[in-house]
Amino acid sequence: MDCAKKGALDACLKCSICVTQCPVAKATEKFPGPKFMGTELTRFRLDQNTNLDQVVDYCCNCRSCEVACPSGVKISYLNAVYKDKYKEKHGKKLRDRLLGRPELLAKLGSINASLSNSVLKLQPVKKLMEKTLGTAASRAFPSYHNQNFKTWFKKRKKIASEKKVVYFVGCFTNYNDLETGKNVVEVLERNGFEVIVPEQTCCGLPLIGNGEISAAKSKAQKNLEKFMPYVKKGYPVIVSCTSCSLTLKSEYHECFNLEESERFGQNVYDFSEFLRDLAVKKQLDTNFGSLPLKLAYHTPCHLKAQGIGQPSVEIMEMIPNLKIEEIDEGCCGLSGSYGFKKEKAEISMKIGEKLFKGIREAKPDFGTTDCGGCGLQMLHGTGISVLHPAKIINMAYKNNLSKNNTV
Amino acid sequence: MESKAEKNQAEKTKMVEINQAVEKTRVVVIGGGATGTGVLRDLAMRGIDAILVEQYDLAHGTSSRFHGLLHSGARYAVKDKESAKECIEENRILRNIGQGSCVEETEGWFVQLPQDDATYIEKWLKACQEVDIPVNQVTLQEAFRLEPNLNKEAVRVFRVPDGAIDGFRLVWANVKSAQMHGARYYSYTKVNKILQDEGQISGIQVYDLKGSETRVIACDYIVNAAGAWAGKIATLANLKVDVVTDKGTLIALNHRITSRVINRLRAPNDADIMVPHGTVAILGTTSVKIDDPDCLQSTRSEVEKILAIGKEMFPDIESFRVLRSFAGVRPLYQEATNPEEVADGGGRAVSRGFALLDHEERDGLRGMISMVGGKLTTYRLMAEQAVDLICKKIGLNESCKTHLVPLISNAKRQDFETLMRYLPVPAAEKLAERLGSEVEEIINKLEVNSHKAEILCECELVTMAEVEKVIEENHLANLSDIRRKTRLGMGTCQGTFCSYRALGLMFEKDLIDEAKAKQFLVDFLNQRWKGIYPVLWGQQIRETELTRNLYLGMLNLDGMDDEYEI
Amino acid sequence: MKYDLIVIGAGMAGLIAAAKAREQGLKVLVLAQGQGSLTLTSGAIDLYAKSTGLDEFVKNNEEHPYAKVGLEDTLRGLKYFQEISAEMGYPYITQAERLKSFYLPTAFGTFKPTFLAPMTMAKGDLRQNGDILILGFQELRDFSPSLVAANLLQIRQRHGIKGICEEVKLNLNLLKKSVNAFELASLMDDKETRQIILAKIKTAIDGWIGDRDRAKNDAGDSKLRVGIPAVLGTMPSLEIFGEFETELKVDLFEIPTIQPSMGGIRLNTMIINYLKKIGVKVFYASTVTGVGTEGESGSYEGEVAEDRTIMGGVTKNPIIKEVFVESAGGRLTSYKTKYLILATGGVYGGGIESTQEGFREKIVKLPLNSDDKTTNLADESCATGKFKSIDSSTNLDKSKRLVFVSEKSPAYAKVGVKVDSQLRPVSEAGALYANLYVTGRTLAEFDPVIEKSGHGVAIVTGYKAAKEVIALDQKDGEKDGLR
Repeated sequence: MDCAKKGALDACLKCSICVTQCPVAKATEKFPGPKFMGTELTRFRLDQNTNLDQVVDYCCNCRSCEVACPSGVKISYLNAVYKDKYKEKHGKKLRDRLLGRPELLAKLGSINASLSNSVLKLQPVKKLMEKTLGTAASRAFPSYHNQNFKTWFKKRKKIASEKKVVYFVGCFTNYNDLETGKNVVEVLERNGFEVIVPEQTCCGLPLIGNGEISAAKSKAQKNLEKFMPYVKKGYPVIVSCTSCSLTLKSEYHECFNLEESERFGQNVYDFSEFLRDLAVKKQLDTNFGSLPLKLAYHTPCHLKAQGIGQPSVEIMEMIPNLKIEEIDEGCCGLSGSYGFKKEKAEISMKIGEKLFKGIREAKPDFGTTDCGGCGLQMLHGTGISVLHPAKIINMAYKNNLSKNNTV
Repeated sequence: MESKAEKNQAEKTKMVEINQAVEKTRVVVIGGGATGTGVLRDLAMRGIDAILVEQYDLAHGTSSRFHGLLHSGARYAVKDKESAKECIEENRILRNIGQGSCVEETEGWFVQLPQDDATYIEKWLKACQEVDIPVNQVTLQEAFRLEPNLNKEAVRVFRVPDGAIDGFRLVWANVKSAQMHGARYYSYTKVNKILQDEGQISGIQVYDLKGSETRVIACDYIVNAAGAWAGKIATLANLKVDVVTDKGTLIALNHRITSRVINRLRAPNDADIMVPHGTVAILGTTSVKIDDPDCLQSTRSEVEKILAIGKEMFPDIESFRVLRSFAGVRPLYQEATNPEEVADGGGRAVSRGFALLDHEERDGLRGMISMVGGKLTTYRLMAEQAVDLICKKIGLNESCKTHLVPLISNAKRQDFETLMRYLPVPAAEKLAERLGSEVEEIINKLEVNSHKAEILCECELVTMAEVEKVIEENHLANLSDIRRKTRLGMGTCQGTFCSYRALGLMFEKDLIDEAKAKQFLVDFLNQRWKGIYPVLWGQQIRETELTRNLYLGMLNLDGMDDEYEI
Repeated sequence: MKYDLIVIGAGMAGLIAAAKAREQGLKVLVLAQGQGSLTLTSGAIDLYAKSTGLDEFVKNNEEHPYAKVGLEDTLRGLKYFQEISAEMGYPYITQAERLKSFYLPTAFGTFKPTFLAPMTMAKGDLRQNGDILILGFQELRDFSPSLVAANLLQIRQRHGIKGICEEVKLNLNLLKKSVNAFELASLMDDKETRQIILAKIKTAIDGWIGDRDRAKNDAGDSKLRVGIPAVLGTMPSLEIFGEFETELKVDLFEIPTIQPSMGGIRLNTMIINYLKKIGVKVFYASTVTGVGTEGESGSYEGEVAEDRTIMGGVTKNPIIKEVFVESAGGRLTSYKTKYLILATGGVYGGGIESTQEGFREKIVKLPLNSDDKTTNLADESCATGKFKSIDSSTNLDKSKRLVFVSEKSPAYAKVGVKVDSQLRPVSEAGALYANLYVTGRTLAEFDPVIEKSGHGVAIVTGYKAAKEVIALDQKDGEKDGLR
């Protein structure tokens, strides 16, 4: 257990700060909280004869505990390790195996996208799936498209430039949210970058969340193989989903300890973080057109965990006439595949309640957030459309066609 | 020399005392460690009426202050074949009778590092074979996979049937078994006098620390099993038994950094044993001769020495958190050896073997025997031999059964499953290990009031129901009495949160008043501090600040005797 | 994106400094590794409580942070904090008498001298005559009402304070398992659940008080005081407290519980909300690993030393230019700043790192008042044979025992960074950096636990450091203006 070895387990002082930050513990009695599930039980689980608790499955891997922890304990990961051990011993549910593999799901869903989309929306189908698979009937599955990002990008006319970035697209953007992918590429190109999209696979986070550490590790290995040649040439890796970027940055190295993963992680940038760095260097095109809109912004937990503040807000604040209200109400509750599970759907919605209320009360034109999953949940909880910051920024660019590099 | 008049007077007093005896028994066992409770169990199982007295709490002494290693004998094979042979035999017995309660079958490894003498290993392998200790070599690849914290420079690794044994639980299991067979015991009962009549033991006078009273127990035989205190007890009968008291310091790490007992494969030396123990791992020990077994403070320099040597086997050891240090006293015995010589050679020069002293034969005092030396692994054998001797004296032809009957009856599967409905899995498991079939009582409590499933000590997963049971069954002198029976306060936070909770519970059950509550709390914190003080750096100093902020800051415990202007 | 001021640490000292500086128009960023230990406190603000009195104490202890700050700014700082609390609708109040403390009950039934108390706790002062009822809940672990009541009664009697002190332990019948204070407070946040609980409390109090006394109580002749564990909601607001007082018609006070403790959690939320309101950014999960410095010869006057060795090289009059933050994945990001305030805490907070080798200030590597290993507790004090192993059941001479519960600070407690009267870190030769200030638990020569100065030192040093930054910024601004 690599994380414990670094002394992270021993750093826990039992101070309880994490307990007050855990969205799941707040929403359900079933989960005894991060301190107990994480560091306290880990000391017992190190005795290989100890049997494992199923309750660990309620951890939604949002990292709120890790963000709050003043001692740097990797609580969520301790939980993931034991989800893995539990499932190894007691078997994995088909549902969790599927939900851990969004690419597979998407490939199934995209074979005939319009059919899948309409079938998945049928209540009897959802009920049947709840019964057989254990997915939540109350939940709308994200829509699939006949065209995914990769096929779109392939057909696209490339723009060549000295300045190059490599884009890690992420499953959600690739299969369900092509729009964000397009905007990311256009914003980067507007700033003079050539965007390279190497062959890639899922970042592995859904597998970690569903307790399949070794499967996640092999995903990580594949991505490292595909991206490292570019990293070695000095090209930054851009990621437009904060959960993917967090996984690429820290998990490959801190939890999997893969070769070259440290160097890789240090070259991964969240999309908005990259733009902010450009702005600091006075290299960002800040010639934004006016955007007289009101946005309600939600900070994804996995962005908080990166320790880089809210770079997308900083960029969007530069857009004339754009009003941004931060809705600081904690976790949205979806946590990737967590909210799609029958036994967790209610918890998931309960966690998000405050956020939904905050968004509704702000009466925005759109919601905005850096994570596709959070966006789904915000839409599900409020009915208000949610746009990725890349879309907002691109809209502002499109409202002003003259390029200019001043801050 | 006493004058005749004085002698007569003294005899008279003794007669008076014996007549005042409130209790009478056949055998009094002095000392509530593994040996004493082992003797008590054996006596009781052979139908001999017996009472055990212990000056503090059971398992207060050496039986809980060692590394918790159930020896396979391999460690002694080269130097002391006799001991090694006893160890492997007792090891097999204890694994059998203690399974599921106090023995954890971890297995043990002997690890040779590049700097270790290779010729010793050949001697060691041969010696182990001679005394029938099974030794198997482990491939290095397998070794590093199973024990990732082991030094990758290790040269050879051998597997032996070492195990871990919980001294607290062993003592409790013995005493409970003895009670079931009719024996009695008194803790916090200190022997003041040993009473004799015409060269024959007639009883003991004890001081009851909790009731603050003196009383007399009449008996025909005394078994002095006071371990490091055996010399002091002998003095009360005007006998001279030379016990070399040898301090060993150990450190407890916050989590199991190995899953097996790891021994350094070299001639026994300081800090070369790591024993995984429940939630913690214990590394030790040192060996220093001391004068008074009550003076047991471990020191910073000892801890640093242990860590420095431990680092050779576990290079990352400094990155792990040391919870506390503690020290125990080995009661070593070597008859007819000049104590000075022993001191020169340090404790390790003295045999780990044990001796049974029949004071009738040795000193002409009928009815008293002393058990000295030895080690925890062979406690049962020592007890068996002592009780054999008593039987011979009584003329009773009853053979020993302690090697055949499990120490406690394990919890029923069905009870265990009920328990899991209320408690997290590891909490239920540990509870069942500690209480065996007595978990029934816990279940009864939980079924009446499910709030009692509340975890009072989160680090060691001790429930309110279990603490309540301990409180109800024992007349407690302090919070440590609960700790020794449950592990409350022995985990990461060292009692920061649970001591407050346990006190509230005791107070609400009307077992203590508010003055006692404060005294218990202060004593407990001070007692924990003794072990934390020598390891006060890194995470432990941070933990201490949290504890200080809670008890001295938020609860203002130091300000109770007000120096404030109110 | 350059900041005027970066504050490292989101504890009390850091947050107060950030607030004060931002109010004066500075662009402020707070960087924090995790939540500050502020959330672990009772929520009350201690100043200094020993019988010598603060004036005299400051006179006699020149190295103490209060002496560095000065009595005047100490009181201003506390006032400033009070203003924030009032503005945020969760007011903290003082005793009428100058520099006198409240004596508030603790969860053990002891008393705690406290300088500023949130309104929800202030009525607990145990010196007031009159009856007290302590209310507890079966479901709430970590609070024993009978122990609290028994200890309080005994203390009050010893000091000749009139009135009985009893307890009621209420079964809420709402929960299957026991909860901590935070969980119960979260339940109270919900209006519907709260009404159910309130009704049960009312019945319990009515039952205890009896009809006749109820009439007397409601007439206001001798109003009953009721102490309740601090679970009246998770938010820094008087809403629930007011609702309960009105409905119960008693004088209500909260008693802080052991962690998770709502007083500290609300206090944290209150200040964070204030910072949001005035536009201070707080980045969590941001580990500051070091600072970048630059020498600017002759820029600064006064006590700044002439030459200083930094990281092996000689730099003249160094100033801090940037801080390096390690974000997820270990990449270092530079944040540029004009001024820096260290509010990283002591050994607990992580500002002062403790290893087997000794202590060191973690980020700037500032010299400490005492960093040799001897402070890290030498052997002689626990030498073999000097201490007996037995619990106090043996009557051993107190001086021979190693005691934790003591009025003396352990040797390490006062280790910290030495500063000048402007809170700038100093060596023998003078201030080390012209634009660096140190606050709170990172400072040397005080022990909040024993002195009962928790939060007090943090608030006033945070306030003072911000004031110094503002003054320096004005000076710099004037200089820039002259150029």
